[in-house]
This record gives sequence, C-alpha cells and structure tokens, in this order.
Amino acid sequence: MRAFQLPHVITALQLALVAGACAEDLQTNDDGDGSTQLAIQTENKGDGVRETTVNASADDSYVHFDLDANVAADADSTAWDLAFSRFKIKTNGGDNGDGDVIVARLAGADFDALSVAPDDGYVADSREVDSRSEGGDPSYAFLGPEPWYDYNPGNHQLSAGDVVYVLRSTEGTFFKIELLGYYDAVGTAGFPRFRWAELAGPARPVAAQTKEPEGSDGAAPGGEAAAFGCYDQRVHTCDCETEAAACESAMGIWTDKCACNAMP
Amino acid sequence: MTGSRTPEELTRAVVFTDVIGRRAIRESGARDAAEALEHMPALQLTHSFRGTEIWLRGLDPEYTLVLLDGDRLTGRTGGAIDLNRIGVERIERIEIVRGPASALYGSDALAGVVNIIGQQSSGVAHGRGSLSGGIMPGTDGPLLDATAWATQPVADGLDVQASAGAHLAPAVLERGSDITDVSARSQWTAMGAARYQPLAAHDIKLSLEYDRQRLQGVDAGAGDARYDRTQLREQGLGALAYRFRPAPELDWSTRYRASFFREQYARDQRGSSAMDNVEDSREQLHQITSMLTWQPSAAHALTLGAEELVQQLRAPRLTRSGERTSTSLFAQHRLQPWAAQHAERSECDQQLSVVPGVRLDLDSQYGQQLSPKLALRYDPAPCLTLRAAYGRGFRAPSFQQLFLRFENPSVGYTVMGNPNLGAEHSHGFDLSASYTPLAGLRALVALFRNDLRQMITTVTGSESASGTLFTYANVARAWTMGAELSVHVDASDWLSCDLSYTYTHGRNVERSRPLEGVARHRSTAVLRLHHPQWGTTARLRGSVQLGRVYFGDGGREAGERDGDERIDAPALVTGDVRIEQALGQHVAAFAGVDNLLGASDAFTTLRPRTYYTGLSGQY
Repeated sequence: MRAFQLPHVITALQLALVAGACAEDLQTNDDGDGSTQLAIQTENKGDGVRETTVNASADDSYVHFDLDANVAADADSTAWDLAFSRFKIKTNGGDNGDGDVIVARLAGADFDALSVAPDDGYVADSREVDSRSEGGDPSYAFLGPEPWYDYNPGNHQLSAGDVVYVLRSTEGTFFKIELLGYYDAVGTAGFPRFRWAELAGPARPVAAQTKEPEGSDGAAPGGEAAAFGCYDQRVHTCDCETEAAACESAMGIWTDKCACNAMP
Repeated sequence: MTGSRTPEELTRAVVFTDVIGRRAIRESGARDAAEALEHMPALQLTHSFRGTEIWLRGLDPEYTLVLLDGDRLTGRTGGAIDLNRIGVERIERIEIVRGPASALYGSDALAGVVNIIGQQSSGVAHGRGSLSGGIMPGTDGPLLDATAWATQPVADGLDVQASAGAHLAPAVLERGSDITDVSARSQWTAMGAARYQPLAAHDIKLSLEYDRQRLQGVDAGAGDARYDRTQLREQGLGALAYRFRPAPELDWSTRYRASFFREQYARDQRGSSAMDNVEDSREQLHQITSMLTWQPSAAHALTLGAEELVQQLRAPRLTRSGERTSTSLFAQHRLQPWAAQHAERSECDQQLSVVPGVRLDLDSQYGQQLSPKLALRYDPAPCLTLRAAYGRGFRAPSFQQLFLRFENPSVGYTVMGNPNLGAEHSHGFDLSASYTPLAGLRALVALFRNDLRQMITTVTGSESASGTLFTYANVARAWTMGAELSVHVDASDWLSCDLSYTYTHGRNVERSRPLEGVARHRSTAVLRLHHPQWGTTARLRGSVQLGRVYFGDGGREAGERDGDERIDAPALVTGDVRIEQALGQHVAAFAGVDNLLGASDAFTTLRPRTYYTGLSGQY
C-alpha cells in the first residue's frame, strides 16, 4: 500500500507535540560492574576442597580453566580442562578438544561423601543436539540433554541442579565438581561458581560411553507424545499430518502449539 | 454514544452501553479512570507494575479498545493501556460497550470498548476542583491528589476550557521484603481546549493535552539482584474537530487527532552497572475521522464514515521502526420499521430497531479486514427491552509481535517477531434483556460468547547462535462465554443500590485449559445513601472474585509441560467506603477508606487499606 503523505499542517503539529515531550532522559547510576574483574577466582575451603568463580559474562568467548594446575589457561593451550561462556560449559575432550576429558554425571550424589570416582557412566562432549534437550543445547557433558542448571521460566533464573560431576582431567586426575550458582554477589549473570576436589581414581580404567539412543522427535520427557504440527506462517494454518523434515523444507515452523490434539 | 458512534439517547441505544456518570465518579472518590471502573459489573481490573489493566468478558487487555473522547489511545505497554494514566480531572463520563465493535472502531475491539469522555463546554461558566490527602499505613509517604477543571465563555460563541491534576502515591513494599509491590506514582496532567460556535450549525473545537507519569519501584532479579526501576511516561495529544449540522437530519463531523506517547524504562542494578538498562520507546498516532449521519425520517438513520490512521513506533527491541497506515470505511444503517406507523408514538408501542453495519480496513501491515455486525433491539412492552447482536472483531498484531528481537544470552534464548503475522479474529454473540417493571427498579440479564481464532502465541522455532529461538504464530484458539446479571434499585429517596453477578468461562483451546487469571464468578455491589436535607452522601462499594486459575512452573516433575501446574487463587474481596458532606452550596468535605478489608493477593498487586480526606468545590 502506498504510504500516506501527511499534510504539512499535520507535520507541524506533530513536531510541536514531539517538542512538547520535554521530560528529562532517564539515566542509570554508574556504579561499576560490581563484580570480580578476574577471569577466575579460587578460594581454598579446607579439606582439599576449593571454590572457584568464573567471570564468564562474555557470550562471545570462553574462559578456560586448568584443574590440574588450578590456574586459568589459554584457549590455545592443551592443558585446559573446563571452559565457560555464560551458562555453557565445555570440556577438553570429545568434539571440543584433544585432552581426553570425560565426565560422569551423578544426580543426587553427596559431594562430601564421594571419595572414589565411579567405574562407569562417563561421556565426552558431543556437538550433536539431542532432541530431548529442552534448551536445544549441544550434548556437552555439562549441557544437553540434562544440563547442570535448572531453568525457571517464570523469572528466567538459572540455579544449580542437585548433581555432582566426576571429571577425568587432561592429566588423568579425577576431580569431583559441584556447581553452586550462576550469579555474582549483586546478581549479575554469567558467573558460574563451583566447588571441586581431587578424587581417588576408579578401580579399573574408564572410557567414554557411547551415546544413549534418543527418544522420538517431539516426545516430552516422561510424558506422552506432544502434538506437533507444521505452522505455515504465510497463511497462518497448521498441518498436523506432515513430518518435521517436510515442514522444515517447506519453510514452516515445527511447533507443539498447533493444537493438533484438539483438532478433529 | 460509543455503541453507535453517533449522538443518541442512552435509553434508545440498540447496543447496550454502560455509563458511569460524573456524579458516580465523584461519589466513588476515584482518582483516575481505573478507580472509577473498579467496582463496575462485567469487567475485571488487574494491577501490576505497569499499572491497571482492564479485562472484558474474560479476554486479555489487548482485546479491549480504550478510547479517549472517541479516539484510540496510544501507549499500550505489555498489550494494555494503563487506566491510571487518565486522571479524574478530565473525565466527565465513561462508556463501556461489551462485545465486538470492530464494525465501528476497527482493530482491538474484540471484547468491547471503553470510551473515556471529557466534558463539553456549554456556554456557561462552570468549574470544579478537589484537594485530598491520605495515608497508607506501612508506606513512607502520603497520598496527595489535586484536581481542577473549568470552562469559561470568553466571547460570543467562544468557550475556553482547562483542566489540571497532580497525583502522588507512595510505593508499597511486599511484606517483609525490600521489593516493591505497588510502584510509587507521581503524575500530572494539563489540558486546554477552545470551542467556537460562530453559528448554530458550526462547531469547531481545538484541544491540547499533556500528561506525565513517573512510576518507581524496586524489583528482584535472578540471583538476588535488585533493580531500581523507573518508568517515565509522557503523552501529548492535539485534536481539531469540526462539526456541521446544516439541517436537523444531517450531521457531518471531521476530526483530526495527533497523539504522541513516550515511555522511558530504566532499570538500575544495585551495586553494579553490568545489567543496567534504559529503553526509550516513542509512539505516534495520527488519526483523521470523517462521519456523516443522515436521518431522513424516524425510520431510517444512515451513518457513513472514513478514517485514516498513521501509526509509528520506535522502540529499542524492534529490528526496525514499526509503521502502519490504515484506511477505513464504515457504514451502519439504523432501521426502525414501525417508527413510521407510530408518528405519535407512545411509550406503550412495540418498537423494533435493526442496525446492520460493516467496516472495511485496508492496512499496510495486515492487509484488509471486513468487520460486519448486526444488532437488533425489540421492545415488546414498555418495561422490557430485548437485544441481540453479532459482530466480528479483529486485532492487528502489535509491532512487538512483528518486529521484536530480544536476546537473553544469560540463559540462552532469543525471541524474534514474525513479520508475516496476520490479524487475530473473533466472532461474538450477545443476547440481553432489560426489564424495568417499576420506576425505581431495573434489571439486566445478558448472555455472551466470543470465539477467537488465529490468536497470536509464542512458538518454538529453530535454533540460533543465541540459543533457543522463540517466535510468534497465529495458531492459538480460545473462547469465552458467560452470563451477566445486574439489578438497580431505588429503594427510596435516600437509598439506592446496584448489584451484579458475572459468570465467565474461558478456555484456551490450544492448551486445553481455562484462561489464566479470569474470575469465573464476580459479584459487585454499590450502596448509596443520600440525605438531601443534611447534604450527606455515603457510598459503599464492594466486589468479590472467585474461581481465578493461574498456572505455575511446578508441573515439570510430574511430566507435564512447563507452566501446567494449576493454582487456584483464593477469593478476592475488596471494598471501599466514602462519605461526603456538603458545606454550603459550593463546597463539600469528604473522607473515605479504600480497600476497606485490607485485601491482598499474590496474583495482582493491590494498594493496602488507605485512609483519605479532602475538600471539593464547584461553581
């Protein structure tokens, strides 16, 4: 449709109205970033336990950490074990590095009571996206499909899940790691905090397991299959009969909001 | 009248219209439009940090069109107009039309229309004002309100009018917390208008308005963060109207209005600037409306109208400036087939009115929309009026839904607008009966149903570098239906009361669950006591809401989808009382208590019990 041409008198009145909006421009106080400027800060908590906070607030780069040496590491070094960018944690193994780092996930384990690394359950980072991943994250050991955090969609807050990870480092040492939080003292996001300690190795050599078979597309975890459909945004209709691949090739949106369950 | 967009008597209106008049507004102690509507039947108000929003017939605020003197208001935030923005000083009356009205008003009028109307100059010097102060125990500041309105003839046929208001309210904190429950509010308004009637047939009106509102609060963020929040809103309005009545049967009016709305939203993180944020949104709306009403006989009245609308929104989260140009044509014909037979009509005659209407909107954004309506009124007996109406409504997608780009890298998701969105649609049906068996007794029963199609909702799209991508699509469906019952009784010269009950049932078809936040049962009562000899008036208002359902995030462990944990909200009972004592002919003193029962609610923010007193005057 051709744009409507405003008469000059309208423009003049519009300018007068704009000029009339004379409130001050709001500003915020410049009180610094209030957070640690160091990339990594580690405190000794006694009994061999350390607590580390990583400034991972940049979302375009990773901060690397060498557990064996308890120091920050260069991105191009081979010694790093963990790397952090916002809520993402990757390890120097699998698709992300040649350090052979593998990780076992022990849901509900007691950090203090854990003294020996488990014999199995280890995985290495994979860049594939598991369809069970609610956040659509790659299958890193600390991310999809079961990430280290719990996400509250009500207030968009991340909190650490009740999980202890056991990590075999680039030097073959085993560490137990428990994530504690994601925010600094004044609530700024991007500061993962975790405690960690060296652990006795398992009784026998361990290796990364092959990946578990995925569930079918669209299956809600623990629930019945969600009613997915293909939304055609040109005509605003849903096709409940098509498949996901056909939907994508037709430039549709594959979504569970099509009310396919409700359709006759 | 809002229901016909033409001047007509309320008692003859084909579309049922609720009117809150000046006296009721004054006696309620309302400080703004929201408080004036607080205990009205058939609607529900919700309060949040954005202000006060209206829900009509179980539908969200974006489905109710809010007008100021017949023109649409700008400045929807979160889809809703904050009714606290309209100070009581510029309100003469409020008209509420329930049911789809897109055939007359276009977009957004799916659930109904709320028209806030200022007073016309009438060639007589007149004015009013009030000054009041109050306290809310537990807060750290007073409640102060000052209002003034006056009109004055300055020359033959020329009247000027001005109003001003200042409103101040302290913040209310959550119990045992440093977080704000109700924002602190400071607001002032100014309006000036001139009306010139050089001849009886010509009527020219120019008006300018400006208002500013500052809301402040402390919000909690993720990870125990605290944010000092400031919302600074400004609105400027300029209108020029011309009305020409060359003959009694012909009425032509043309009106231009320019609206400017700006909202600055500042979020200042305590102890850090890392998550500070200032957003500046500016919206302009230019609207030209021309209408011709021709009534050649008592049996026919034809209204033709054309509207041109230019809207622009610039906001930081939009990928580009939102711009929309819309051309609309509308027509309606009021037909009274028996009127000619009853030239000497008495109140005992049966009456039938039929009003078909249609509106065509040609919009640069969402294409064309055709909105038909049909309204019937039948008066089989002097004391009984039956009404039926069907209307199609639509709502244009907002600029946010079209062009939003919001990234939240801290938790890894992105919300993108969808420029291909179309309009949402509804079909609405109304049936009602008004019964007036006695001069002091009126009863109304109404049934309604709204079916919404192609509603815009959030869907999960493909992945992006910033994480999961959400976007919008026209895929949701919902319906609401219900019944309204209201009774007005003038028990004697000194006692009258209004009672109402509204049953609303709504369903989100997409998620197979009730509509969130809709009160299934709502009842209101207004009791008015007036002693003419003493000059004392007391007004007691109250409302009860039952059957509100909300959905939390606790259903995940039970294998449910996110946000499927059903929470049944407890009953919400609110009320207020106000007593006014005349002190001579021009001055009155008043005192009152708002939120008499000290009601509080976890799902909508309410001011605590408030005590106030003040003086009002008029001449």
